[in-house]
Amino acid sequence: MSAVKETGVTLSDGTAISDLVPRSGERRVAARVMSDPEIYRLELEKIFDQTWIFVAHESEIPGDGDFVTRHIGEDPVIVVRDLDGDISVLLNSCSHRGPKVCLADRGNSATFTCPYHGWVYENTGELVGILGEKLIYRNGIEKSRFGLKKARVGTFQGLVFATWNEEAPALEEHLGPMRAWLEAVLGYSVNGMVVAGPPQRWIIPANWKLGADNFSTDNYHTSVVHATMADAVPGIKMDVASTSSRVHNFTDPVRGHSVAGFIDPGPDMPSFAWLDIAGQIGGIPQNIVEELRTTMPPEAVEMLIRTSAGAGNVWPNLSWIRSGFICAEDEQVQPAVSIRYWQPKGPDKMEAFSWTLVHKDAPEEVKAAASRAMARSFGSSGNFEQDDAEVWINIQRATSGVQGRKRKLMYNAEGTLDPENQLPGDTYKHQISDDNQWHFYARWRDMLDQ
Amino acid sequence: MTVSLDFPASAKRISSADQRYGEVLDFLIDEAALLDQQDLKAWLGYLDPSLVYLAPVRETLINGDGIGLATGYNHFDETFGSLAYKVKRLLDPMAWAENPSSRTRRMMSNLRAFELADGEFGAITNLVVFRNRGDDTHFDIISCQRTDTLRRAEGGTFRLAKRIILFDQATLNTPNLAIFL
Repeated sequence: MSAVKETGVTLSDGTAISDLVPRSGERRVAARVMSDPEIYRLELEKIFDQTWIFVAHESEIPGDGDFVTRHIGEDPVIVVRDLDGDISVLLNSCSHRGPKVCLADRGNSATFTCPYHGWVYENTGELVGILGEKLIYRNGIEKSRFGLKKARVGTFQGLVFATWNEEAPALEEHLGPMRAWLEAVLGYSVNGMVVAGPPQRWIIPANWKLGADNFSTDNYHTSVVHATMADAVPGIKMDVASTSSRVHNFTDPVRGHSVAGFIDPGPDMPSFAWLDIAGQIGGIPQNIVEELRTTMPPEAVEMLIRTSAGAGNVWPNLSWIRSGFICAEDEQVQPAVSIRYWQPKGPDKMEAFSWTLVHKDAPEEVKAAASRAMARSFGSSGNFEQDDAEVWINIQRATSGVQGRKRKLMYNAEGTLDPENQLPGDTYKHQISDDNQWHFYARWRDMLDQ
Repeated sequence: MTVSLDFPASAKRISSADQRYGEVLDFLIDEAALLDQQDLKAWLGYLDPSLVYLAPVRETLINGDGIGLATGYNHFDETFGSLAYKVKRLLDPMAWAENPSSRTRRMMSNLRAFELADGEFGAITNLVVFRNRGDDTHFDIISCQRTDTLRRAEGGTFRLAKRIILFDQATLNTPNLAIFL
């Protein structure tokens, strides 16, 4: 990664980007980043147009011609699987006069036809048909110049990312040490995970960063916002006084990715003793936990324990949650995994996307049980997420006025860097600290300050 | 699981002139009133212990690809037990999503009633819920169709045994489903 150059980008009122998220001194973020339209447009240009953005899970487009339509920033894109099994991400805008050429959320097609003048594109983006070509373009026209604009595509552990930026590092480099965490969360079963169905989509009238920030993660809010669910998930009840917690947080201070609350067993704790907690918090099915107790070599157990990582955020706005959930009296804990995405829709609104992921090889009833538990716990009607959405909306409302916009938000709870950390990136001791979230905003500042 | 928004061909339509139509209508009107009054405990009494309560995710598909009713993931995926759990949570003052509560007004109409097998009744209704919170002048309009199966209960009334909710949006324009439909 190249060193960040402090170029001193300023807003139209003279405020420097580095005033919004300072490079030294107190860790405070200017509240106006949540509502300022000028900052929002800079985000679209300097973040969403420049880095790798999540667009789909591979299992949403398994076969030849399968597509879904999504957005990168405010640009509509088609995410489509072609005959050779490759994935294209195409700007959903006809090269001729601009309308969308694909109008459905999901479907299957070998070609896309513009509804305005009938131009036809292969699902790999090439322009192959112009209605009345020889009559209209009497001097000829080079169709090869006018295909749908194609983004660079990268996939990792089933996650499909795209970027318009030809200069961006390869996806693997962008993810960096986050790859190991994504492997641990998504890749520990032989044939991996697939979506249970299409995403829930719903509007939360709050800035997209409030979702990404929360999943970066905010471990502090769980016992307050989710007080009603304290008995439903292990780990919700927070021991504020504990400073010897074995729960650490991981952050990549340069790339801005973070992982919340993995358990560091330490040298004096028998690894297997943590399997139960890892199983419950990590959302690993109990039968697998039992198997592992007898069959797994210690190094693998240690990695699995680290998969207790219950939440995290891939910079900038792809999050996950994984846990075991109780959704009714006298019911067993049901493990489930969700990936989610905070789609910006203006400075004061986001469209939340939530998918449940299930193990491809799990029996149908296990898949259905996971999908059900996640719908009941997170997502549009989720017992947890209902309250989160409410808080984010309140932040948006309370920080959008004249005084509100002048405020600074506090991210100065500092954890202790773990000097024995063997993992790439930084890990911080203590479950509760603002380090992960601060690094999210630091990355945000660095990208806007270019 | 594919859900059905309709009833089997053997179901007999009950005319609005039929007394039983009025009984079904009264039940659904009373249920809506309980929810608007936020009497969630009493609302549970309207539900059958075997209740299946589903609201499938919707997608926009090209005509011919279907109406866009997803299988495999739902906005609501509930049983009596999980709804009772939600009600218990919502009655806790720390359920911030609904404290202060939303003010809602359910506008229910277009009832089509059916006689089903085993003495059960079918009801398809349109529902539009007005939802407003706090001092916000913005309000949410949540529109859906409900396909219900009602079972006779003691005293001649009913209990809701099944509800399939067909949302009229693919992206829901409400920040959470902390209210019931």
